[in-house]
Amino acid sequence: MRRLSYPLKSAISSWRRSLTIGVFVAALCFLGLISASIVEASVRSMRAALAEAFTGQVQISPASTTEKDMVDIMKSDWGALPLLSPAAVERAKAALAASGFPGETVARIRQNLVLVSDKAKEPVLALGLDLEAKGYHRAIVLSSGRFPEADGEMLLTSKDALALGVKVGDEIGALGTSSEGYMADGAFRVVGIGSIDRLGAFGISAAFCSRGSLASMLGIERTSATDVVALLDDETQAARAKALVAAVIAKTGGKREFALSDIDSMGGFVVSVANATAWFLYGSLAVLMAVMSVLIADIVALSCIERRKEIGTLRAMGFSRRHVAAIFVAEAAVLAIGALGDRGFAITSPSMAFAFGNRVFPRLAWSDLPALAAFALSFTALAALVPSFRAAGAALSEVLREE
Amino acid sequence: MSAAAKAVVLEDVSKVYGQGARKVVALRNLSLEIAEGEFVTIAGPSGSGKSSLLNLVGCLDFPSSGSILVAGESTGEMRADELDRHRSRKVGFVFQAFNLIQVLTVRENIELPLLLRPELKAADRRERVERFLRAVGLEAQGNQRANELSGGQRQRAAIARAIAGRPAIVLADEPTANLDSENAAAIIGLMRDLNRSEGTSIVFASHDPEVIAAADRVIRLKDGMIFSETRR
Repeated sequence: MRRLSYPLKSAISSWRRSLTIGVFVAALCFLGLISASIVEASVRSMRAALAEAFTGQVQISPASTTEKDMVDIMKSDWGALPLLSPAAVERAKAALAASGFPGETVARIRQNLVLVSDKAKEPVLALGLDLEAKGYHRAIVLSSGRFPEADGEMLLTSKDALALGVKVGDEIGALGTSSEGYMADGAFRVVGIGSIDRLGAFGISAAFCSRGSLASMLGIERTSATDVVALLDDETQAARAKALVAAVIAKTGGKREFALSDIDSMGGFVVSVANATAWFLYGSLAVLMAVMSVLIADIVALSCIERRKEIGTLRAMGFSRRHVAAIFVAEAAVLAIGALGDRGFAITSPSMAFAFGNRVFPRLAWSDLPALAAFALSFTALAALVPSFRAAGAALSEVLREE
Repeated sequence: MSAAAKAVVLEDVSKVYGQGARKVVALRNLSLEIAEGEFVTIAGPSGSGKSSLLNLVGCLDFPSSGSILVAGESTGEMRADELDRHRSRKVGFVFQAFNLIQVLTVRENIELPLLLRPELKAADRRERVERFLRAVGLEAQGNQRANELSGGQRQRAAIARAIAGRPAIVLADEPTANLDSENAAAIIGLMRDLNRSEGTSIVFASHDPEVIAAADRVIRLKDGMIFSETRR
């Protein structure tokens, strides 16, 4: 007789109980998988949008730059940011390229502006980008118009366009602080209005235009920049890329010239909110799991009461408490493996794409199965361990007494 | 008779359940010796202490006082894991309600306690199972599940399970109580045969006259004490 045949046969024999435990475990696994996938996909998606629109995955700025949080700077810092000289911009681009990770490298001018229309004034974070930059397009959902293609053109967020009362084709004024600290003004034509996808809830005010037009308005050299950012094709390589860029900068003597940042240091508020949301959802899932484990433990405890005589007989034969608990735990684990059968459906089902859309698509892959199986097994085994071990410790003379 | 030749030695054993006003004395200062290979029946009315005595000898319960030696080993000082091991090697049980594992086949039921004996390889276990299936006349029912057998067949399977591990002693608590007279007689005969062929000590707790008549020795209990003892 194989060791597993006893628990397996018990599980099949009491199929109603098995089905109940199986359904609990299956529901928990399914819920856990979907929740974790959605949370992970949402956080990844928000971070991607933040990087694409504002921070890049790796950013090189002048060593004297002290700003950390993109959202904070929009609210509080109206002074001019330190600039990278045209030569420094090229060195920074070279350092990013030397990291060896494919992606887009963009030199930018960032400055807080007040946009002025006939109806209102609105403070925004203006981003002057190379016109050939395309990475930020992925973060913006256009509601009308297009992305800037020439100097003097600007793209606004829907919120700011509404506040300013402007539409595509309208002219707006802009006020800012020049590099020397004087008031500077300029004019832009609104060519596009859109929202920064996945970050709408943060109420971010931003305007996108060419680096040249922002440089002209602020009276700085067109090829200067406040920073150079890299948008990697593979965002998961951000930390490695940053380390490699740091090594290149150190090797070329640029440590005094450049400050190196990444999305975690710059995206402070947004990243914190995303992480907090994730932890909240994971916490809720943990509470749900605790409730589920109590339910499974209750079912196993009931089963132990029903099978008191069987437990007593095993103990009389010489099976230890540990042996008996192992039989019950194995029985529950058999059910957990059975419950994983529905994963195949979850992973392959096109209904998942229909339910969750393509942007926040739950990450369901066959490669998740081993981890999921380990989770389901250990979770069920833990839930079954306490009641079965306790039942195995009952007084044998009582358990085996004939009424 | 030397201690090594004794399957069971009880010295001044008492068993008390409950405390204070609810105190029930099941056994009172009982001393008893059972020799290896002996076929003994513990008789007496309900409440006389038969089952309590069997539970103590089978290490299913602990005495309130006194000492117990089973197969030459004092069970009083054993840890829980040592008691488990002792039960698996030295003691076999036959229960009134058979207590077979319903989901397992007869073969698997007989093999179950042998799984606790790491020295027995799978082939050895199979050999033993087949041997004791033949001994109890259940060769044809080996692959049937316990709940597919008649009462008499179940008790035969239970006997095979109890004796397959070649214990020093088999304890049978009212093993014929749930059987008709024909099956009861067959079970008594079977146990008598196994007692002779295997040399295993067998202790019945019963008030069945057939069982009492078959025993080498009858110990009658009353109020937790030995009331009389008869040898044949």
